[in-house]
Amino acid sequence: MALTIYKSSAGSGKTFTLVKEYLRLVLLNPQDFSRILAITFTNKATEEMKHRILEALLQLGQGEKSDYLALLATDLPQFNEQKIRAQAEKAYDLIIHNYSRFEVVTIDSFFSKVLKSFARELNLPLTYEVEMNTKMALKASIEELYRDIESHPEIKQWLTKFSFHQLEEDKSWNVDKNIQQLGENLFKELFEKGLEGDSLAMNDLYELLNQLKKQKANYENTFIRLGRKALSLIDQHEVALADFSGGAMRSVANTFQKWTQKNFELTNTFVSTTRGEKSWYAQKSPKKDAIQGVLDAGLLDTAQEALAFYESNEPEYLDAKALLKNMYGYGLLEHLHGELKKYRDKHNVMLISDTNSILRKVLNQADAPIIFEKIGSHYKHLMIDEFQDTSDFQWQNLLPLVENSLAEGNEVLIVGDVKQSIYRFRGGNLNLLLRQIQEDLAVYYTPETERILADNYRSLQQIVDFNNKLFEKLPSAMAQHESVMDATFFEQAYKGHTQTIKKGEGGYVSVGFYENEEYQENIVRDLVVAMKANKDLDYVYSDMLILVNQKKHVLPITQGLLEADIPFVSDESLKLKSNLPVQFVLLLLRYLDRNADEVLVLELIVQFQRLQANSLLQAAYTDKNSRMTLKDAGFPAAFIDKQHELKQQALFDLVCELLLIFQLEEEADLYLQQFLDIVLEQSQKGKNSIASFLEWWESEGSDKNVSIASNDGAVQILTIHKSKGLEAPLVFIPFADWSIQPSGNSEFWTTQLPERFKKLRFYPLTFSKNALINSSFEDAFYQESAENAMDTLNKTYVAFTRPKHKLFVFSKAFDQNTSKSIQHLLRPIVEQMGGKEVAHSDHVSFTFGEDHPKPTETDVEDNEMEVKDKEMEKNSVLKVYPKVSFLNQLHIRNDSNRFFMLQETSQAKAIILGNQIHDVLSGVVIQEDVPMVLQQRIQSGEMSKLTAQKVQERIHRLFEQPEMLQWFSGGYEVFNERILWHEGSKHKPDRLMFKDKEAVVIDYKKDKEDEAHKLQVQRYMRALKALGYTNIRGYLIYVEHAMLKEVNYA
Amino acid sequence: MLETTCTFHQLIVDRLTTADLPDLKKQCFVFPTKRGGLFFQRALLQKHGQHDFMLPTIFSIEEFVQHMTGRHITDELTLLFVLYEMYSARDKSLAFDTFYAWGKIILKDYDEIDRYLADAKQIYDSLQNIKEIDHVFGYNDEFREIIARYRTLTEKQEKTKLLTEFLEIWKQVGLVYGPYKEKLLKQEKAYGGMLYRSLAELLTQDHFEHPFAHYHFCGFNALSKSEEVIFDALVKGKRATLYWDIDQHVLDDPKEEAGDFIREYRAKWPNAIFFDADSLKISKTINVHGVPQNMAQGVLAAERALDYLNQGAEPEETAIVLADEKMLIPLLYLMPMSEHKLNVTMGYPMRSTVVFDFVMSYLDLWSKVTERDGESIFHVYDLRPFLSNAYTSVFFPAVYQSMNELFKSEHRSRVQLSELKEWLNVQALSALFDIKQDWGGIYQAINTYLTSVFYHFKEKEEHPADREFIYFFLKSLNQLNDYLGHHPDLSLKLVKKIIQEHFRSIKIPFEGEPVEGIQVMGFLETRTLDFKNVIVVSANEGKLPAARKTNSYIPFGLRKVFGLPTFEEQDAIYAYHFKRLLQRAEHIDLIYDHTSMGDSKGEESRFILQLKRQLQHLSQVAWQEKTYESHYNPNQLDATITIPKTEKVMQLMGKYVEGNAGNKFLSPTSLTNYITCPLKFYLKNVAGFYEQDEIDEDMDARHIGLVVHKVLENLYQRLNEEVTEADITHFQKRVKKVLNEVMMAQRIIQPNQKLTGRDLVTEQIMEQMIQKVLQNDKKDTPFIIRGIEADDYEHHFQIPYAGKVRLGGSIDRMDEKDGVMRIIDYKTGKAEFLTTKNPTDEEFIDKHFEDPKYKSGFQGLVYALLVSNTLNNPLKVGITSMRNLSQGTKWLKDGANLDQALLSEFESRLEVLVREIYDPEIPFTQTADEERCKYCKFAGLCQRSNDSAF
Ligand code: SF4
Repeated sequence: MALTIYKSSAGSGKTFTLVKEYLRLVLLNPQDFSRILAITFTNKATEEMKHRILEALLQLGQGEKSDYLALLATDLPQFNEQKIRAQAEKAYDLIIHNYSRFEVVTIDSFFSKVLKSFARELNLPLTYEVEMNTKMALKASIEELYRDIESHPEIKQWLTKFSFHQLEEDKSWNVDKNIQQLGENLFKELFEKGLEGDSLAMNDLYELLNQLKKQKANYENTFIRLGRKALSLIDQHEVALADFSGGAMRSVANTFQKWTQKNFELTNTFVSTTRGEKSWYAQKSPKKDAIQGVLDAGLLDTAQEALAFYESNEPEYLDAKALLKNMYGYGLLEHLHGELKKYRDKHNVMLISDTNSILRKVLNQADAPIIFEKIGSHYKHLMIDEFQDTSDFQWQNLLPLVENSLAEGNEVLIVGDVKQSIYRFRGGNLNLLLRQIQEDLAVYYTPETERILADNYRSLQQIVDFNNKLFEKLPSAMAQHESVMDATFFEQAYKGHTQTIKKGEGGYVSVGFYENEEYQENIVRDLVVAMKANKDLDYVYSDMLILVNQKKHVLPITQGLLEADIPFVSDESLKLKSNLPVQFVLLLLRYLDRNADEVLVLELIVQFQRLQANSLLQAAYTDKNSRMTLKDAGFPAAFIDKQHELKQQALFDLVCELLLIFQLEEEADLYLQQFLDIVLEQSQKGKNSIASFLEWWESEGSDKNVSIASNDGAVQILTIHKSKGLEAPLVFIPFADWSIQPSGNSEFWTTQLPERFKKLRFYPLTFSKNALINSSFEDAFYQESAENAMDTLNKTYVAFTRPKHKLFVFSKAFDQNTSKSIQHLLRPIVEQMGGKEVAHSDHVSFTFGEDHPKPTETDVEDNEMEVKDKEMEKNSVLKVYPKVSFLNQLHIRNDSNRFFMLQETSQAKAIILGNQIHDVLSGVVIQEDVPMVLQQRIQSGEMSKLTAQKVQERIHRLFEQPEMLQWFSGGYEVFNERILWHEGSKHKPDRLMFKDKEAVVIDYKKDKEDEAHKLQVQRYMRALKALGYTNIRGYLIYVEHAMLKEVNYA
Repeated sequence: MLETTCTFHQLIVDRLTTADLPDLKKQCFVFPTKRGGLFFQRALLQKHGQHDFMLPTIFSIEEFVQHMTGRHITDELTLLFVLYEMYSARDKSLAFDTFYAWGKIILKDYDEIDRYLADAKQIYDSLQNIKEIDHVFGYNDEFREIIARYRTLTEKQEKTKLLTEFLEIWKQVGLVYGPYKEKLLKQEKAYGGMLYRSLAELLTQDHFEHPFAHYHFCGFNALSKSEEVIFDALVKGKRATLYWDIDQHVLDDPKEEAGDFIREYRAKWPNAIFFDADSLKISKTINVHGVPQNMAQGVLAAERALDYLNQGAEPEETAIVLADEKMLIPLLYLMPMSEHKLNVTMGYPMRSTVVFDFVMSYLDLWSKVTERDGESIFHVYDLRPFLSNAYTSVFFPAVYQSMNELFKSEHRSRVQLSELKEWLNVQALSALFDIKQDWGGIYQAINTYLTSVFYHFKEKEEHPADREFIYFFLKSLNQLNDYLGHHPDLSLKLVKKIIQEHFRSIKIPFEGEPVEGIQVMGFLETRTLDFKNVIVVSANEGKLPAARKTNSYIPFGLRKVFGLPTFEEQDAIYAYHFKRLLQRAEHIDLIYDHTSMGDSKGEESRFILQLKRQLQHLSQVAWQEKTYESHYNPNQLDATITIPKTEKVMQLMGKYVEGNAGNKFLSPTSLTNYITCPLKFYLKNVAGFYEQDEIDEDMDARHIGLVVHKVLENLYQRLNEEVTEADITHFQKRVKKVLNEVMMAQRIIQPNQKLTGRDLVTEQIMEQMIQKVLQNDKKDTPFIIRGIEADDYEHHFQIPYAGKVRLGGSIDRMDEKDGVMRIIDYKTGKAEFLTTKNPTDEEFIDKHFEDPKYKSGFQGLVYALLVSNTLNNPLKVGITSMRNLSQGTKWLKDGANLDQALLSEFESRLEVLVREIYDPEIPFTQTADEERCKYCKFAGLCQRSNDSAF
């Protein structure tokens, strides 16, 4: 059973299975835990898995009840229960005492570890940080692109042409947005892969561009010419367009006019008429003869010429148009890519996307052993979770490890669910799980390799039933969609989706289809009703989860909830920047950074007053000459007068000082707390100036959310994408009317280029059926649209499988003409599922099962949680606010008195030389030590070479004294700056020298003689006496004047 | 101190009798850290303070080794420079900044090789000559297996790129080791390992003149091989006593990685002294706190410490241990220090200081300077961080504002060095620019400037901390300059990187009486110390123990074979320190971050798991786990703003009334502001709040509008004459020139400065736009220009309570064609037009009053109204949008003349609007449509979402 692939479904206990498999391996051989690499996708998943493994081992080891026991007993028939428990205990102890070897890791952290260990081999900076903020990097790179254009005339030219092109097309001449949008792709691995190999030189690209333009113009001009010709013929024969078949509105001859108006479409009627399949005029038309006359006079020829031209040139024309659309932006990407590289070097960062692509270039199947050596771990078994979210590069990088493992006969365990693959936009490729893996690991595939986890432990019966039925039909319905060609893709992906109910009876599903224009309001109305009704059925608001497809749908919902007084949390309400104290601090920073304009001051004052629950707006009732100042507004003097001082603080300190000054403690809560945490984190990353922090904030920080531990009593609103992996008793999906294909201007990249454009390698096309059908990109279009449809299908699957008890879906009743959105597929299926159908004034609803009160939880998992909650003391609340301005309270070492030592001015020199001589002498035992001590001072930066020389000269002069020579010649036992303990206090003479009972004590002094010096030495002498020395002499040495003074014993 | 148990240091002191005191001066006590020595000294004096005696020598192990060898450990930077010289001699293209980081690793590898007395030659040869090694040494099976693995690697026929690189680097590292050490020796320099190895060698020889009578090694744990040899030699010579501090049960339990080392030493030196805290018997309370993020950990730590003090604990017995150093500053802010003394054995990070920032921005400036025609030119963009740094404004407080003003008024994106010197007319500041542009010059300038800042602060007795920062900065910089000064070839960019690297880890120490107050320290500072109350912050996996690092060029397997430490040893060392720290503690708080935000994974330290398993069930241990959440203030902010028309407001609005001071018109734009949002109208047009522009680094949209207007005005100067096709052809030829003139006049281009960067493109765009307008006009010839920027038309409304309200504005262009007067407005942006087919006059007008989307049309209609009072021609209103030039000028009502009926209808609607504006009963309110707030500069005030970040 070397290779096992678990195909899971929503709520099928995927993590449970993984944990069980992990346990099986470590119970078999506890030491093996250090040789299992378990890979998950998110930190959260890692944590959960680690936690579950440890908990299970502990429970088993301590003889407690465990869900895993029975299963493990089956898997390990050679062990009895006692043995299992003993092994578990052993494994647990091994793990907690060798925890670094317990490798349940995210795929990103694992590969970044690998990359770091090869930093040198790959010529990467060693201390790089991983930059998540690609937006900022991109923006900076675009800026650089511009700044450099003097030295790159071809880029300048290109940019100018780009702008002109935009002007021609009546679009903004400012092309930044455009470049930015395309530039986002630089962070995607598809791009990396697509653009491998030689790039097209700018000049060649330019040539191609002109060629395409010419081609396009030629095509269009031909039609304009033919159109004009036709119109003038018609005119000459005194016939009107309306006289032709079809009449005024739909005249077949209107086509000619449209060409002259730059609409180059050929209607079906026109084509068939030209081909002679239809008549140009109604048989009863009075103008019949005249029209026939025009036709004979050349109109028919013209039409046929046009048709022939169309038939032979349209595909190429479409190609040209499609390519031209993005060519200007495309042309800059390569350079932008270069700028990004420079950005990385300059900022010493790796972009989050870099790891996988760099590794992919160097890793090679043969490299698993060397990876192991480098990171110091030799893995036997591998486990990979959420495989459907793996990207191509990630898989290619994993492959050497996987193959190594399998080749050595170890176990590889892969878990994933194609149906829950919704991260294609981040690089997740469901085809890996669907087919690729089977190809790549064909040698290891056996009939047992693939297993299906078919149980559902999450949802009650009605939910599971509903989804079983729905997803039986929805994939094939999706495959019928007009833009999809390949049905097997969908069938394969949803094969084996049917789940067995494990959770129990009950559950409820309601699906409503809403008519008419106000459907949104009506849905919100009914949403609120449903929530309130469930509140009466013992549910609490925190049991409820609202899923939306797009962020923009949140607003109407929150408005409804606000009106109905239902508490909620959404991403938007959790934005850090929505909090007043945070805003205020940011304003203060902005003010300090840039000094204010009037608007900023006004805002500052108003926010300041709001913080004091004072909503008077006096500041706004002013004109130019009477503006309210911060002082007028009552800002503390500590702020107004000390701005300069404040700015002199590092960012984190500054923010704390501001908080201390403004005393916002009352208003402070988790928003401000997390803001402080962010400031701390950012200053740790080197953003220490206000400006650099604000720059970061603008590009990224302002998107930051607070996270709250428990949404006590509040409904949660999430996008479907963020709900993956979550569950809730009640799930509401208002606006289940998402479109199947992306709207408007979305782009996709393709390598499927016709031969003559192969050099472009990888190219962005605008996703549009009209523009691409019949062009060379038709296949690429269909492929993309199938992928899009799969995304939509999976999104639907994820959304519908979140509920534990009840699901409420609100959708739009469809209008007949289009089939672009999901409700067109949903409705027919739901109608046939045999639910209860009820027609309401503005909608029709289908319900499944009976609505019921909240069931009391019986299953183990939930119970356990509750018990644990009780065990733990109720969560305490912490309030964060700075208390004290520490720099003023804490002593920093007063080393700066030695500042002089750094100086070379003549005045400074005179004062400091004495200090320095003293300092050097304290390190000297015998004369020969002097050069070494000096050397050391130079190296530590405290002395320049020049100074050292001076010091040496002085010391030399000191040694001209015969006593000195004697003392420093090695005949004495020497103690420099040694502490004497005498009469309960410390004494620290500069130099003590002993020879038998003889003791000499010396203190070095800078300049001027002083009575106090003498007293000090005398104290030392008394101390020596107390220590039992009889022959004691004391000296003062004035280093500046090289003078020696004996001190009498007193 | 501790009543129940003695600290480690007290236990040592307890072994000394009064009779031993006189001998102490000849003895030497060695501790792992300096701080350990201090605590020992304190314990010694506490016990024997009533006697007179000379203290023994007390060393940290590092000081000990230096003292014994009489040599000094050279600072890392110097060592790196020497190493770099050797490497760059082999590879000329090697840059120091890239070398810096991995040079450190090589250095550490060398250091360890020597500390562990490994045979460097073998290590580095091992990959090359792996076969011999195999039979030369009698390795055990594990090692054999490792070596076999390496053999397979090296013997691979087809080596992957990665493997080749790996082997190549390996070879290099090995080749340099010997010569590097030789070179250091010659220069009397040394890294730590060299001294350890040499002391180990010295002591194993017969003659060694011992400077001390006896040695005491106290509180060690993991010994390097050389330390082991040193200790062993001294123990064997009966000159040393070893003191180990470890729980017996840790020692006895082979599972405990904390005992791994000492278990070995127990066997090796059976006569050593073991202090067994027997901590399982001590009653303890252990609290594990799961806390959200960092700040909250700081709060809790402070809270716990104060609790202990309030319960009567001595501050000295209480330690806050920071497993993550970055927690220091937050903790200090969260600790109410006014009441309690704090002793901090950590430092303030240099790179967080503003002085560091200052120097970086200054260097950045010079590294980006460009040369043109012998002049140095700065980009305003690069100047900004420098000018806004607080240190720049020490002698010139308003430097940023005044420069900002200057740049703005002159539309500057670039500045010449000579100008800058002139402007920064403060001696200290201009001296920063009056320099030779190389490192030497820059270094001098920094030195001089910071010195004067230092004295400036000193004189005013201000900013003691800053003075300290400057001192430390300059001290380190001097050190660096010693090297940099000798390498004039280094580019400034490189110098900057080196400085950045160098200061990355430098800390400015705090100082206080070491054994007074609550003790705050990093985890490793706790070595040999004991506290009654221990609070550990950041007890997260990944921080405690510190994250596993693979920074070495000696791969894991070979490290094992050659007895070099690996991360496993590292973990065991942490385990020892952690367990030891808790041995004698009675109250323990372990605080960890339970969220997965920032650098946290939310995982509690393994040591917590270990403790829990070992202690939780003991009756004398009170074990408690707790989680915390953040305080949450659910108050919702009401951001509604309403401005009632108070007397004051009415008075402000008086400026648009005839006869009042100010002499202002209500402009079409201000009226559309009102339609968009009454509050916006109030703030902008009544109260007149004006947003200062940021410095324009490049020409932006506003410039484009201005310039295009001006150029067209310039070209169409001649009023009232017919403009012909030939005229326009002539204009077209002049565009470039006029454009240039206008940009000069508007100070967008400075004399003798060229456009650069983005402006080059913008210039072309403007030219293209003008050409397009002209092209369109050409098709329209002949026509007669009747007015350009005409602003002499007015319209009045008599409004109750207010008076005669004046409307007016400046009309971009009026021309006459075929007797029709055409009013044309140029728009830089996009203009939307009513698309309804054949609307009635009423619909037409309604739309323009309701939806700000059609503001161009509205404004055009106001102009038409203004003009219609004076002129009798038929009127047309057109808008030329620079965004829609291919369509030419678009005409309201599809180009039909605006008839009188429409205009009077419009007029009466307008009057209603103006009445509303002046109606005292109707306050100025916020628009309900948030879309309209998108680009509004008051969005922050209104708490509306906006494209900008605020
Ligand atoms: S932000 Fe919105 S509401 Fe506030 S003034 Fe601007 S437009 Fe009006």
